[in-house]
Amino acid sequence: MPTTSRYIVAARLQNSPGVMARITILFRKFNVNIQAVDSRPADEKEEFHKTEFILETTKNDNDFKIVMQKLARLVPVIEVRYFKQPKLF
Amino acid sequence: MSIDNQKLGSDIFCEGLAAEGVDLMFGIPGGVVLPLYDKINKYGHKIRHILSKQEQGGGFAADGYARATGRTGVALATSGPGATNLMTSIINSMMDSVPVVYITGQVVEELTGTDAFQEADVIGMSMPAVKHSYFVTHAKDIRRVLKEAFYLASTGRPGPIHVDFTKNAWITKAVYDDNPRMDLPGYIPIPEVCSNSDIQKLDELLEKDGVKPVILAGHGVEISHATKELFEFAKRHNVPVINTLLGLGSFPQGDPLWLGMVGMHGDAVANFITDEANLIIAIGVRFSDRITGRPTEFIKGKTFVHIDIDPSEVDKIVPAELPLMGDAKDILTRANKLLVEHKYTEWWKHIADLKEKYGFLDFKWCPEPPKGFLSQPRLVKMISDATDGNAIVASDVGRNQMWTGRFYRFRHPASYLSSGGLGSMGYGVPAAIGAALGVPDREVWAICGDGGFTMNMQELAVIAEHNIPVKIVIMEDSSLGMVRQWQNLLFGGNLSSIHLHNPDFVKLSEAFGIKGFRAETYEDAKKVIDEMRKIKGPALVTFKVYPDEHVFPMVPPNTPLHKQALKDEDLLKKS
Repeated sequence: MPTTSRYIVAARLQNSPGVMARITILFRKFNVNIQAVDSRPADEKEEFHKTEFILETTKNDNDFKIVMQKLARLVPVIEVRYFKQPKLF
Repeated sequence: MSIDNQKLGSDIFCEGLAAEGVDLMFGIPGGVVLPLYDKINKYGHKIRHILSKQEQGGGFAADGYARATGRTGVALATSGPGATNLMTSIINSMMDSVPVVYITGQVVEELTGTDAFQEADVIGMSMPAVKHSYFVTHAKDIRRVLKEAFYLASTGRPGPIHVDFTKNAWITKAVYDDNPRMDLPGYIPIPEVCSNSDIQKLDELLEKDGVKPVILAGHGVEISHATKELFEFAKRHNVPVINTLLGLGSFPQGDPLWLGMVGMHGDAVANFITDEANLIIAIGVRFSDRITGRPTEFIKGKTFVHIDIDPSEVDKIVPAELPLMGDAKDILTRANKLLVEHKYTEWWKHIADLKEKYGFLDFKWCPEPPKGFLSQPRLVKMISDATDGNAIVASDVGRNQMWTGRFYRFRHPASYLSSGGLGSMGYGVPAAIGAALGVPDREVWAICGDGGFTMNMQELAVIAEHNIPVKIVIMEDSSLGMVRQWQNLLFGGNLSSIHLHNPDFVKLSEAFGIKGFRAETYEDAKKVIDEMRKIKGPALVTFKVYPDEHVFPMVPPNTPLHKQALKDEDLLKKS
């Protein structure tokens, strides 16, 4: 069985229709599962959203880095930060 | 603002396209784009509209135009089936990083989501296959979106932009803004730029004892217009240059440093040298599975320097010890100033031995077919010799594509047009149309198999209507040739669903009003090629080629490059 890893990803996004669809399509392409997602306006004008994902994947750290780089290359994505969730048990 | 200052969205669109420098577009009208087409012919003095015969043909033509000219192509389709027909060409442009703006019509906004007539969620369909896309519902957004679309398509790593316009966009009004402010806060064309000290680290790698370096030059070299800089770099360091399929033309093919094409059907020497090298300087390369063979073997014992504009390509397939991020032209320009010169005498001695043993740019692994049949690589070489390597050649996909890459000696960049990443049959003829319209002062040939040709042969009507001087070659073997080769060599000779029932291609061509030829001997072939070149307009020839002429070398999927098969027996023994 391949090992599954969890990552916490925070992204600042443009607030417009279809942005989340672009992101989830990218995750699907790399077979990354979304365990949880939380998204809310990041500024008073609501031009941007701050979105946090909990992702689960069998990708290794390097391959997940590529996914994050592809995420950062999406035009409506302003900024991406992520870290690997340590295994507690 | 007075209502008199306002213009219809359809006018804003046409003026916006012209303002972005568009003077040629390919398209087919239909229901929801009729308000736009009501204006398009009125802007004919600024933008030439070519009526394609099927949207995929129009998309491929725009893609071929973009590759040959370096400018952004434009293809347009109506909603529903028109738009879905464009999808293959959109993905093709994405896979090969080609700047094309794809325009589709959409049903009126009020009907979106209702399964209206000719409604298809094409934004949803194209999303994974575009650099970016827009959904436009009002005239006020058209000019800004067009400006952003052309900027996005052509900057950084180029790619297709899809803009879906609801019918409302054409029929609403807004003020035309000649220079709207772009709103792209997340887009950075070149996300990272390496420093001079990063570049200088390359010196250490080039100076290591026993280093056997190779430059792997891909499509990114041409996209970056870095061919001169690459030439200077390779000469300064005396490093062999090997191309990927789409990199062909980025380095002079008569130069002694050039060692041909790498990959599944690359040159034998290029494959061996890539395999044996311990320092790979990859420029604008994404390490497709067609060039790495088995990636775990490919990377063994190698150090990779990866020059690329897209950080997400680095470490994707091979680990880069020295990633040099940025535009290839800029990086090579700086490298040429910063680095000391090198020689690799022993390495070159070994390369000379391999050339002697395995042949180079010759027909060593292409045996002459039985009497009565012509040989595809020999025909490609004939065309190459006749045109002295100066033509733009659009190939289709399959054996014709591999032999065109291997045996046409390209003298100029942006001259080999081919569906590399997607490998879409039917690409050759429409891409040649786009190239011939975009670069009218150059000779343009389309080299196709009979399978690929028939997939978009309706575009002959476009060629005939506009007297586009494309010279079309059909390698006719009444087979899906590459599939036949795989079935012969890897599936025990079980030929399944590959036989083609072809029309008489000469009569077909003449029916469209295009001069048609047939050649069954080399003597005839040479005469026909010369005669076709003398014809000012289009011409077509069908060559009777051998169905079981296999492309060698062949690196079967997931096989190390050094285990390339050079003849039938190498694979038949295994199977």
